[in-house]
Formats: sequence, structure tokens, C-alpha cells
Amino acid sequence: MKRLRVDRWTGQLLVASSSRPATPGVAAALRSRRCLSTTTTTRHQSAVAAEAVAPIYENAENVAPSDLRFPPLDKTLPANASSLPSPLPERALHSPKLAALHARLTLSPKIPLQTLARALVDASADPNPQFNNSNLAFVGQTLINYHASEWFMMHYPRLPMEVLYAAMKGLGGDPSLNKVAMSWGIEAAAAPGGEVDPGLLQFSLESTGDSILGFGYKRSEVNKLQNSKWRRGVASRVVLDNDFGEIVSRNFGVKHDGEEAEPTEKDITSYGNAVKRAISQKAHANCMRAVVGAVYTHCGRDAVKSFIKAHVLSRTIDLSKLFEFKHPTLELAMLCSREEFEPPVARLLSETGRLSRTPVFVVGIYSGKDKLGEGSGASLEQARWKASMNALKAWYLYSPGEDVRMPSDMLEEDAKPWEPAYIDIGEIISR
Amino acid sequence: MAIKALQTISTGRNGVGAFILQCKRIDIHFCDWAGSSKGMNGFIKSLLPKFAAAHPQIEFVVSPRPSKHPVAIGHYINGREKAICVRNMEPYQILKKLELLRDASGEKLKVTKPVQSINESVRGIWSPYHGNGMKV
Amino acid sequence: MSRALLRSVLELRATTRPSSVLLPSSRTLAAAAPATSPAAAARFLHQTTQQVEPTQPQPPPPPPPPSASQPSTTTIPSQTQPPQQPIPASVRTLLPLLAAQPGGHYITVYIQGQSYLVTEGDSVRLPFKMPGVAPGDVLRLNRAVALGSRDFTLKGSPYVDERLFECRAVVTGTESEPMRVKIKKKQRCRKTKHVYSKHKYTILRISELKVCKDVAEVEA
Repeated sequence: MKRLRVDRWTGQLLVASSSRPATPGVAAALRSRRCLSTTTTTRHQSAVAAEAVAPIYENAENVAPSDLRFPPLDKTLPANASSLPSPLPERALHSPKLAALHARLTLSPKIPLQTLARALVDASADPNPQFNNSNLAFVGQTLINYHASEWFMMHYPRLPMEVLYAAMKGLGGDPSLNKVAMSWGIEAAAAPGGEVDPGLLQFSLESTGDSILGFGYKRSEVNKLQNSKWRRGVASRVVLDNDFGEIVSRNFGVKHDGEEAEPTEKDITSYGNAVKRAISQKAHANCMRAVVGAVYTHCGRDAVKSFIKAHVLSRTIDLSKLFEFKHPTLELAMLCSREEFEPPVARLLSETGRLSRTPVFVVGIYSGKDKLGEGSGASLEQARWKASMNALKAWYLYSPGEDVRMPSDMLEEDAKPWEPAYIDIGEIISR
Repeated sequence: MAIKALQTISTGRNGVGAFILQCKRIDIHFCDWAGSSKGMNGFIKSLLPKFAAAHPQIEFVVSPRPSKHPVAIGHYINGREKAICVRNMEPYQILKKLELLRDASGEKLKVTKPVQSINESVRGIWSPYHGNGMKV
Repeated sequence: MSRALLRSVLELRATTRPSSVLLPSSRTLAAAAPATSPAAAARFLHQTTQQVEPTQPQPPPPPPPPSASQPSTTTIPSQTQPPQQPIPASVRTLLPLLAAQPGGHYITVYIQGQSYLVTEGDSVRLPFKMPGVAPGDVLRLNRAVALGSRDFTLKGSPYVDERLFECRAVVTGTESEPMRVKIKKKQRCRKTKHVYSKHKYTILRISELKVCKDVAEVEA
């Protein structure tokens, strides 16, 4: 949404020391190598869509005769695989799960299986940023949030900032992207390690990993905000907090709404406790973001835009359910005075059963001769409130139409000149 | 802080935007010796390679299960599975069963209404409190 | 694999084109032609007589060039296409109003003798198993009884002109109902006969519904 640093994007993600990895020929020459001191294994990350990286481990000759009858299912598994934190990138070429996932998402053949395998390794499983998905997930998160915020701002220019944050989180937050990853059929390994299938999502339930996802500043008063319920204004959320207006903290994946989620007795169910569910949710969401980042890295801007449109922006979110008003009548009166409408008047449109146990009143809010909203309720007061809420929602959810142009449409080659979009002066601020 | 926001999660509908095939894995079990697996063995030799190549979205797992009837088990994205015993079937009958597994969504079978929608009614809902009413 | 690849190409292509170009010239479109499988059978769902198709397999089409205007649909000349009627003046004036209404549109599509009132994103369970389609195929639905928004409805006589809207559906799979058991019992006879039936249904998802905004553009 804010601060897109284009110059720092994805060039160095796939290959440690390269500047442009997207072309296979260049990237092949720029493989980075890293020796593990504890083992004799060398593992290296390659960004090239290699057709045949020879499995270099486990020759079948020197296994015992009893093993020949039951050969190991995965022939590429090296002897010391379990000492590695995540599977070797070469093994990605031999994983049927990974190939099936690649085909299921109809990814371009430009995206190699090794990158997809890397997108499935969470930072909690493998702390090395060259082998986990944190870099790709960072790019993916930025792209998803950029396109989501652009979509909301163009389609609903009058959304209040709080509601915009909630909508952004509803579309691009961890719970939503977790659902996307689930709908792709991504399965999680029981525990991470070098010997598991590279087609399984690997994350650790014990640690949360050390990856930083999203922009934002760590506030010095974070403890006061969380424990003493300090007030946190929208303006400071825009400047300091992350893309969803949430406090940036080291372990932000493990808590909900600024509260530390301690595993209490109540939380622990047969499906684990709330903390573990949140860790799993975050790992799945990061994996989905990493796939988006991989699409961008290998296929470019247009491909990732259509990918995000197909998988994220096509999801449904009911914005009218996100509003919570405290004084709707007062707010509507202030809106009318700000916009120089006539002051709102509530009029009873129809009623039934006033003296019965279940009365229904239908109240309309009028400003002069224009009806702003209408609501029905069991009492006159309730009906008036509902009518005011509907009037306010109708104001805030104004949309210039479905086929409004986005700023990112201007990046196309033969784009028409930009026509200025509608920008609202902002929400109503009560005194 | 006039307006507060409530949190919801977006809902996805398969086919709007991207389409994901719901069948993610098919396990195929056979027996080398038993007669009920005869058709299955022929299917694995002749038809399965082509079927698997035509469906790269599905992971195929072929494994022997001695002295048991041959089975094809479909695993779906919603976590459910669907198992079909294919004993004494011809290879082309087994192909039909695999196509059934491919086309299924993995949901429990139930009688559904023809049109299912989560959208709001376009024309609105009829209300007895509006309009002129009816003279009785 | 080629089907999946073609699909990914189509997905990419759909966003790079402006929406106004998306309206294809309807003369080349058969009803509900599977868009991604040109060799598969295109059927005319609004008629009950059997459609005789060429039996010889068509060669696979070359990969669509990125700037090709219409790689997505089969170009099968439709024999049952009625001659192009001129669009009435009332439609010409009121259709832009219908298209501009907020809150979405609905369409009553007509498939094999039945009509379904659907909006974008709905899933339709057809009462039959559609032959020749696989999950993921895109159908273009071009028979509509009515097309409407909150305040306007365009009624067809008997069908809405197919140039005025664009409705696509994705085949999401084939479902079957739970096994039905009908017990047949005659009086004064202890025998009961159990008749089993289990039908299969094709499930569609309405993935796209667009109403034409400019009638003059269609006629051009």
C-alpha cells in the first residue's frame, strides 16, 4: 500500500549474488554455494529451470542385499538428509506432489520446481534465508497488499481507514491466505527436516521463525499499547504500523488483535491450541505469498497481476458487514452538515402491531426531499438507528462502478492516459 | 474513533477467478497374483500412463497390496477421500471409475438445489411494508 | 498438460486486453462451446435433436499468439443461428441504464429446456451429465430468457439477443446424488422389489456475466 521499493525487488532473492536471475542462462552461472560445516553435503539454490539435475546421492550398488528387495522409495534421498533443516533443492525435480501442485495452479513452465519447493519451506523450518521462503513471501505480501489496496481504493473511494484496514486483512491477511493455500491442496509435513518430501509445506510448531514480513516500525510503547490499552489513533497506524494497521512486533504471528495468545485451558482442543493454529495459519499464508513472489520473480508484473486477481481479488468479502457504528444518528447529522445537505429527519413510513408483542416499524431518514436511508426495527429508536446506519453505509460504500481503472493498468504498454480517480475528502470525524 | 471495524474472512468460490481441480491424489492398489486384479494390472500397464500424463494436476501413487482386491482411492482438497473397489473390472471400466474420481468434488453426496448462491438478491426481497398494499 | 497450459495462457491473456474488445463477434460462436478444448464436441444445448459432428479429429490448434483477438473459442459455424435481428430502439436507449445499475445483474439462462436465474459466482447443478466436457472447461452460455438488474429487466422473445451480454460458466465437476431406493410392493404379495438409481449431474459455476454497455458498438 505504501512504500514500494521497486529497486530492491526480487533481484537478489533467488540467487544470492546475482542481479538478474530471471533469465535462465545468466542464473545458471550465478549459483551460490554454501557449505554446511557439520556435514559433507553441499546444497545450493538454483534459479534455473533445470531439466536434469542429476541425483548425486545414494547409489544403489552399495546397499545391503536385504535392502535391494525393499529399495528406498525416494532414491534421491542422501544418507545424511536428516541432518539438513530442509530438503535439498535437487530433490524437487523428483517430487510428484510438487509437480502436481505446479500443474494444479497452472503455473508457467518458467517457474522451476526448485523455486516452488523453496516456497514451501517456512522460516521456522529452515532459518537460512537462501533456502526458506521468507524473501519470496515478502515480495508476495507486498504485491498482494498493493493490488488489494488499489482495488479497494478505486472501487470504494469513501471507505473509512479502519474499515479499509479490516477489508485488507479480510482479503490479504493470514486467515484469508491460509484458506487460499488450503484450497490449493497444500499439505503440511508433520515435522520439518531434510528427509521429508519437498512437496509438503514445512514449518515448525515450536518456533515461529525469524522472518520479517511487511513494512512498519516497531513502536517503543508496544507494551503499553498491548497491556495498558493505550489509545492508538488512525494517523499513527497509517504511519507506523503494518499494512493491516496492526502493531509490528517480533512475534506478531502468534497473537490476535494485539493480545498475547497464551495457551489457556479453554483454547486447548483436540485440534491443538490457538497458538499452534495461528502458527500453522501463518505458515500456510506465507507459503501462498511466496508462490506469488515466485510468479513475480520468474514471470513478471503482468503475470503476477492476473495471478493475484484470479486467486485473491476474486474472493468475496461483504464490506457492509465490516462497519460498527457508535452514534449513527449523530454521525449522519454531522455528515449532512459537512456536505451542506439539509439536516436529516426521521419519518415513520409504515408500522404494524404497535401494541403487540412483535411490532415492526419502518423508518426512513430524509434530508429535505431526498431519502437517505431506510431501516426497520422492533422499536422506533432501533428503526431510526438502523436507518441512519444504512444511510451512512450507502455513503461510505459509494462505488464509481465495476470497470474503473487501476493505477497498475498504467504499467501496460499502450495504456491510455490516466484520468484522475475520485478521491474522497475523508470520513466523518466526531467531536 | 467514530467507526470501528469488524473482522471477517473472505470466501472463495472455485471457478470464479481460478479453477482448481478438487482431486489431488489417486492411490491405486493392485495385487500381482490375484485374479480380481487382472483388469487392474492391464490398466496399469496400458492405460494408466496416458491417463496420468493427461492429468498432471493429480498425483498418482501405485502400490501393491498383496492378496487384497484392487482399489482406487481419490483424495480431495477438502480432506475427504473416495475409495472404489475395482475387483474383476476390465481396464476400460477402471478408466471410467478413475474419471469419476477425477470429476468428483470430494463432498459428501447430497441432494442440492439447482442454483446455489451466496450473492444478495439482485432485485431485492419483497416486503409487506412497502407499496400500496391490497384492499380486502 | 496442453489443456492446462492453454488455460494458463488464456488466463494471462484475459487481463491484458481491454474489456470492450472482449465482446466477440457472436456469429462465430456456437452455444456453449467448450472454450479450452477445440477438438471436443460443441453442442447446441437449446435443441433436443442430435447434433451431428464431423468425426475426423481436428488437428490441435497452434498456440495462440499473444495478440490474437479470439483464440479462446471454437469457430464452428452455427447452423441454427437465427438471422441477425436489428436491435430495437427501446433496448438501445434502456440497455445502458440497465448496465449502469449498481448491485450486480442477474440472468435467466436457458440450458436444455430449463431456465436458471443466476448471478455471477453462483453454482448451477444441471439435471444431467453433460457429455464431452471435463472439469475446468469454460462454456459460453448464449441463450437467456431474461437479463436484469435491480430496476430493469430485459425480457427475451423468446430469447435475449446474444450480442447484448456475455455469460461464461466453468465446469467444476460431476456430482452424483445419494443412492435412491424405490421399494415396489404389490398388495397381498410379500415380495418387495428394490429399484436403485443414482444419477450424475454436471456442476457449473457462473464465472463471468457482463452486460453490453454500448449497443452501437455491438452492431458495428
